[in-house]
Amino acid sequence: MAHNVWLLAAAWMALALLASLISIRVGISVALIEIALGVVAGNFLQLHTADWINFLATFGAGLLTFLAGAEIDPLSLKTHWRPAAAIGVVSFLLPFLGVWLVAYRLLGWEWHAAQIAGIALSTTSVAVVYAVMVESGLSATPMGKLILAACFITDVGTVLALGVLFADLNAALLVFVAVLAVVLLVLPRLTREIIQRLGATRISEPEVKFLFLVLFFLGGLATWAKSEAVLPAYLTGLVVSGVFLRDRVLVHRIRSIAFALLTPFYFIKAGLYVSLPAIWASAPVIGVLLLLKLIAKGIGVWPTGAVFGLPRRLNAYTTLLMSTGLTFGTISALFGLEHHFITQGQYTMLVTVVILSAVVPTVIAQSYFGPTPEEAAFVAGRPASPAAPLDASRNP
Amino acid sequence: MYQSIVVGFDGSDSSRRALHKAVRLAKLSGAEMLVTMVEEHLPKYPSAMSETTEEREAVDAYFAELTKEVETLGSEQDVRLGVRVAAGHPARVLCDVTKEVRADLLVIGASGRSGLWAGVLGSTADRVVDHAPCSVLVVRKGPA
Repeated sequence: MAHNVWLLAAAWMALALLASLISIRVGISVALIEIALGVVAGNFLQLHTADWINFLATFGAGLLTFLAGAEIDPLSLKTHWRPAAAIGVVSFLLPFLGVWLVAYRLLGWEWHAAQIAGIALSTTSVAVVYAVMVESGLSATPMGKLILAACFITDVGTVLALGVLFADLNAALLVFVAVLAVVLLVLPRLTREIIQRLGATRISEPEVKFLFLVLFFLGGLATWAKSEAVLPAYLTGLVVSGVFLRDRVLVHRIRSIAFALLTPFYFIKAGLYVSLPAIWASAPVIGVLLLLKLIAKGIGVWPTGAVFGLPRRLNAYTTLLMSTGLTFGTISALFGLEHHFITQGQYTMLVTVVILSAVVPTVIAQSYFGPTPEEAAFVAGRPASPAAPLDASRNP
Repeated sequence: MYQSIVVGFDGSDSSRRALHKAVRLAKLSGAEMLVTMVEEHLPKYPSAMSETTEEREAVDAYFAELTKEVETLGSEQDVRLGVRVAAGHPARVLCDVTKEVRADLLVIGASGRSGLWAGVLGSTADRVVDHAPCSVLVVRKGPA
């Protein structure tokens, strides 16, 4: 099967399909199931990658990063700029520096490996946070929007660190930064014009091809400058987010392409390199790193949230949500592994901690600090009185 | 008899029986009704926000149809009722809504659409009976 492209593709797609079926059945995101199946396939089935799979996986990660940037509501970011920036920056900086320091000094990891650990565990998963807030009825409230805006700021820190820390400071980097700046400046207007002028001939999908062209070009330039393609992908998403907010069809098309053909290769590949024996062997370190991420997030986010007047219980809830991680954490760890900054054992530890950080803070937040009906109603500006029954309403 | 009744409704046969039973009780006692629908199948731990939003849009469309059915039933039977759609675990949402509106009766079907988790962790009805802040009527299949 090793040299038969079709059979190899069929094996990977069979895993992707199985992940979808399991995901629908158990109500857990397909990404986590794909990672889990990747772990099984890597440890027991000797499934392997190929150059074309690596490309699809890399593009899948880039497209996920682009979507993460494009999903921000620019108005919400503007409205909550000060608290979101303050919470977002400390939410990135403290775990990044704390984990970097502990990995380097106490765990004895090499300089770059410790940096990768810091980046991978500094992330906040906007998608996980959003899903939890939908369940709590907070997603459309001012407080929910503030938390989401803060998550985006944290992710900016992550992609900047990933794009800048490992780049060579040379002429190529200057060229990359200059071209990126120009593209980001003209892209929103250009994208809007392409959608407006060619929107009627959508069967050939010109707007999707245009965005892919931009992502390929900037990704290529980033690679040439020894930077990382997720940086331009995220920033590109951010600058076109206003366009995406209005054109839901475009988001749907890009998401469909990503989830059907690209991200399965990325997440299964992310699981493929996780070594099960290494998980057992390094369980104490995994526990320490997870605790460190939670503590560092707490030290940063809790007091900052208090300064901006978040009530005690909702502040704890916010702090726990800001401690979640998933996509950017695995992207950072895989970047480190593929560029030989970390070993497979270190990769295993980081990915395990990232996955645990998607689940553990979420469960604690929902079990012990979830807004009470009164708090949710208060935050949403909805009456929480016996008069409420006859309001035809929907939790936002 | 009752002043405020909450009923869980997800479109399943079992929950439809509960809805009709609750309407009859509300009519007899002159109670207000809040029909609560729970979005329970949103993906947990998603990798993109759109994974949640698009799943939710699909669920919304389904619940919009159910809302029409409920409102028609309410006006046919001359019962005052409202509809609430919320995301989360059905048992938790139903108990929270009941507490919030201070209902004196919660009506649910004996089995809904809770799927695999119900098999592992117990049914929604089991958990509601354990945690509800008021009396619970679990409606089983059989003569009305």
